[in-house]
Amino acid sequence: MPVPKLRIENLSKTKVVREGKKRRKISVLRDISLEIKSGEFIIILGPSGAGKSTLLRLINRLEEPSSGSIYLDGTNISELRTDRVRQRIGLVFQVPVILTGSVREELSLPLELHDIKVESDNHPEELLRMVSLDTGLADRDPTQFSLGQKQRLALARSLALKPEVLLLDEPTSALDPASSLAIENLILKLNRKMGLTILFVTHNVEQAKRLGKDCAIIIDGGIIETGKPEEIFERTTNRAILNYLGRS
Amino acid sequence: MLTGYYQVLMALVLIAVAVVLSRWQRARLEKDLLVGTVRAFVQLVAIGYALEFIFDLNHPLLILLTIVIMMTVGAYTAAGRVREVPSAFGIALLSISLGTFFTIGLMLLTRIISTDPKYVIPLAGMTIGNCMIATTLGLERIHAEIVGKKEKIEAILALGASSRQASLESCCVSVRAAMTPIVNMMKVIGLVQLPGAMTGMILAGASPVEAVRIQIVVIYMLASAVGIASLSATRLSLRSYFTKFHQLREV
Ligand SMILES: Nc1ncnc2c1ncn2[C@@H]1O[C@H](COP(=O)(O)OP(=O)(O)OP(=O)(O)O)[C@@H](O)[C@H]1O
Ligand SMILES: [Mg+2]
Repeated sequence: MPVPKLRIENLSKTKVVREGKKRRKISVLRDISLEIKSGEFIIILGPSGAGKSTLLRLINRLEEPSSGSIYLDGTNISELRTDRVRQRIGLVFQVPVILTGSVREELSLPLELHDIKVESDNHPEELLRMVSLDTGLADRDPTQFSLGQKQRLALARSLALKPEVLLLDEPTSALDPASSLAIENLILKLNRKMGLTILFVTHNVEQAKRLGKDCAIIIDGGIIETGKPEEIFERTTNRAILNYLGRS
Repeated sequence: MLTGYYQVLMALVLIAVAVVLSRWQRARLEKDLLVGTVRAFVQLVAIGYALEFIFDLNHPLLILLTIVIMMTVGAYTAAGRVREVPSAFGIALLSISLGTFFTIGLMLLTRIISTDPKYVIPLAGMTIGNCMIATTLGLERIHAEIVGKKEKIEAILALGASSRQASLESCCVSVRAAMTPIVNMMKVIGLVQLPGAMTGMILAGASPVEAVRIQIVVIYMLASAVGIASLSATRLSLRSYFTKFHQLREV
């Protein structure tokens, strides 16, 4: 059996929240285990506050888990250099953040950070094509882009590093329905054409059904069900899921 | 004994004017003014006697101890103004020490000044004061920068940038903020206000040209010390904001 691209083992995360002057520990993720094969597309579906973003942040190592481990190609990511982990596992945030003053700089920044040479498959025009942005935009100031354009640019910026895994944190939640569909199709294409392993986080049940991929339902910090959304929908008797899927 | 303080008593008349003005304007500053008056008097008289004792004894260890105490008070004051910065006291103490010891040390080594406490202590005092302000400004700014640019910083980190790379811009801005007062002061020095050291020397009877010579040395020394302290404070503070795995801490 081949080693999974990503293996998450008994992952837990507690955080300290301040309530006035008091500090209280809350459990954000509880005993999460998940395996993702190379080239697979997995949806993480769950309501707001379920811990989805936290899970992605742990995989990109923006945070340390309280317990449990994450393996990339069989190696615990805590034994790898952080910059290498983040190069191999890209993270696209819910709200796109623009870092520079031009599209070109935006796309060469990741290469500069890692001392990577510009080649035919990571130069700005090619990256723009990958995310279906007009190559004529290369010299524009991205702070003036629409949200959808910014999100595509953020996606292209992650792709510049040729990641093996792409973590997408509700990449369409800030977009209108048409732009959302376009981004969904774009990501499906990246998975299909480039074999990119994808973890797609969403709180939107319809979107999960539309994507039609395997899905892990996370509620209150724990994974309760895995499978195709429709099948889970059919078979589950779990109250929390039924509530969430809108049928109780 | 009191006759020596005749001038001081007369100066009190000036405070009385301020109190009357405050009353008249209903600024309600009378109490603060009076407390300030008493504090300034007590503190300065105490320092006067302490310095006289230190100057007379002229012992290197005592001079060093005095400087260390001044640095500690400076760091404590700086930290008090930037409570939001984790381990601000340690950062301030180290930064103020670096700036002070480097510049005063260099001036001693090159024999620009002698080890006479008459020179060393006032110069150290000025250096520490300026480093204290620079440290406060630098830390205030880096905190605002990092908290305000959290999303941006994490987005760069997520691309694999190091903490240094991710905070480069914030550090630059903070060092500039910390150094702005001394840079501005150098630009207009002598034109708007005669600096303290120079004023003191002229009042004590030195010729203006002689006073200027010392003042030039002092201002260059301060600029150097402030540069060191600013850079050190911002760089040291990064440890409070980032983990060794290039993660932004919760602050
Ligand atoms: N920095 C933090 N400090 C304390 N608690 C936090 C912090 N960040 C998140 N939490 C808590 O952890 C839980 C999970 O947060 P998380 O952002 O991972 O949820 P999510 O599933 O991504 O939600 P959403 O769909 O709204 O983005 C929430 O209850 C949240 O309040
Ligand atoms: Mg989220």
